[in-house]
Amino acid sequence: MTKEEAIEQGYLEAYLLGELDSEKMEALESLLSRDLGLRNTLNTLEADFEKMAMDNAIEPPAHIRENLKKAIEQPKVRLPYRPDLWAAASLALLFAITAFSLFLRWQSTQEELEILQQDNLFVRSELEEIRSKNLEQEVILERVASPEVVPVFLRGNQRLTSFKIVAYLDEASGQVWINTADIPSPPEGRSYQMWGDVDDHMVSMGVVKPEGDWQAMTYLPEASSLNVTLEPEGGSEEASVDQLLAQTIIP
Amino acid sequence: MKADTNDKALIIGVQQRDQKALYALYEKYSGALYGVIIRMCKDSGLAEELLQESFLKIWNKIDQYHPDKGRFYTWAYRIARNTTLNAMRKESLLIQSEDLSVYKDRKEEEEPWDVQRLNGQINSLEPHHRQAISLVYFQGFTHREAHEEMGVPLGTFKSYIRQALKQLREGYKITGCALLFMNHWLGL
Repeated sequence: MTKEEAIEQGYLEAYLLGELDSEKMEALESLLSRDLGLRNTLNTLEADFEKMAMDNAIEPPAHIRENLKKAIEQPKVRLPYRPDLWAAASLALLFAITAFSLFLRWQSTQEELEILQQDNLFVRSELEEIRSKNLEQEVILERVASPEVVPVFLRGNQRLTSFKIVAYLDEASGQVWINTADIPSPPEGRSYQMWGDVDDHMVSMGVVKPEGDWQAMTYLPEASSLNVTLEPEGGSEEASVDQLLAQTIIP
Repeated sequence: MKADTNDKALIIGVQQRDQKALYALYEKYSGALYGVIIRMCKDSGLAEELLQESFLKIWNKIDQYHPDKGRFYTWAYRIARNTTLNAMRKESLLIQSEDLSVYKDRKEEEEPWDVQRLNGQINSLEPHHRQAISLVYFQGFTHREAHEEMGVPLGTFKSYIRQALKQLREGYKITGCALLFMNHWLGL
C-alpha cells in the first residue's frame, strides 16, 4: 500500500470507521508508522471527525448514566437474606444430605445382600451335596446292613499292620462296598489296589482311594479270596504279589 | 459541551478500574456517541440501551485501546457503531417475522422529530457532500452501500467524501481562527 493509495482509495476514512480488513489494516498501520505526513493527515481527519460528532451530539437522557452506574457498581448477584428462603434452602440441603446418606446406606446394604445371596447359594449347594451324600450313605448303610450282604474283614500283614478294612459283598447289586475311613494313606507315588483270586489268577477289583467315604469295588462272584497289594500310583494290570498287604479267604 | 478533560489521564483511570474516570469520559463523549447511535437506529429506546451497552464495552475492553493508534473518540465510535449495527441486524431478523406496517407505524409514533437533522460545519457543505458524510459517519453505511444509496459510482462517492472532508477542514480552520481572534479580542 502506498501513501497515494491510502488517500485516493479512502483507506484512511475506512480505517477511521473500522471497516478495513485485517490485511489492509496492517499494511496501513505499517505505512502510518513510517510516514509522518500520512500520520498527520489521519490525525487531522480524526480531529475533524470528532469535531463533527461533537457538533451533532444529542444529550442522552440522564437515566442512562444512572443505569450505567448501576450496571458497573452492581455487586455480583447474591441471594438476599430472607428467613423463609434460607429456611427452605436449609431444609433442601438437609433433605439432600439425608437422601445421599440413605442412598449410600442402600447401596452398601445392596452389596451386602448380594454377598449374602451368593453365600446362601454356596451354602445351599453345599447342603445339597451333603444331603445327597448322606442319602447315598444312608442307602449304602441300609444296603450293607442287609442280611444278603456278606461282610469280609481284611487285616494288614506284617508289612502294614495298621491296615484294616471291611468289605461288604453284595451279590444282588453286583458290588463290593468298602469304607476307607480308617486306612492309612499309601506311601507317596503308590496306591492300594484290591484283587480277587479267581482260579489262581489275581483279577483287579479297583484302586482303593483312602478318602474316608464309602467306595464301590467290582464284585467277582467266582473269587475265592480278597487281596490288597501296594502298587504304583493309579494301579497295575498285574498284581504285585510281593507287595501283598492283606488277604482273606471268602467264606 | 463540558469542559475539556485530559483523556489520557481518564483512560489510565479507567484501566485502573476508576469508575469516576469512566463517568468523566461518559460526560465528554456520550452526547457525540448517542447522536451517532440514534441517527443509525432511529429509535430512541433502542439507542438508550445501545449507548449503555457501548459504555459497558468501553469499561470492559479498555485494555484493547492503544492511544498510539488513534484518538479515544475514534475507538469509542467504532464500538458504538458495531454495537448498533449488530443490534439492527438482530432487529431486522425479528421484523422479517412480524407485520412490517405495524413496525413502521410504531417507529413513526416513537420518533416524531427529525433525527437526521445535522448541525455545525457539516451544514455548510453542498447537499451531495453532506449526504455522503451523513451516510457514512452517522448512518453506518459502508462506502459500497452508500454509493448505491446515492446512485453514483464508487469512485465518485469516494471523491465526494474526500472533497467533503477537505471543505470541513477549511471550515474548521476558519472557525478555529475566528475563535482565536475573538478570544484574543475579548482578552480571554
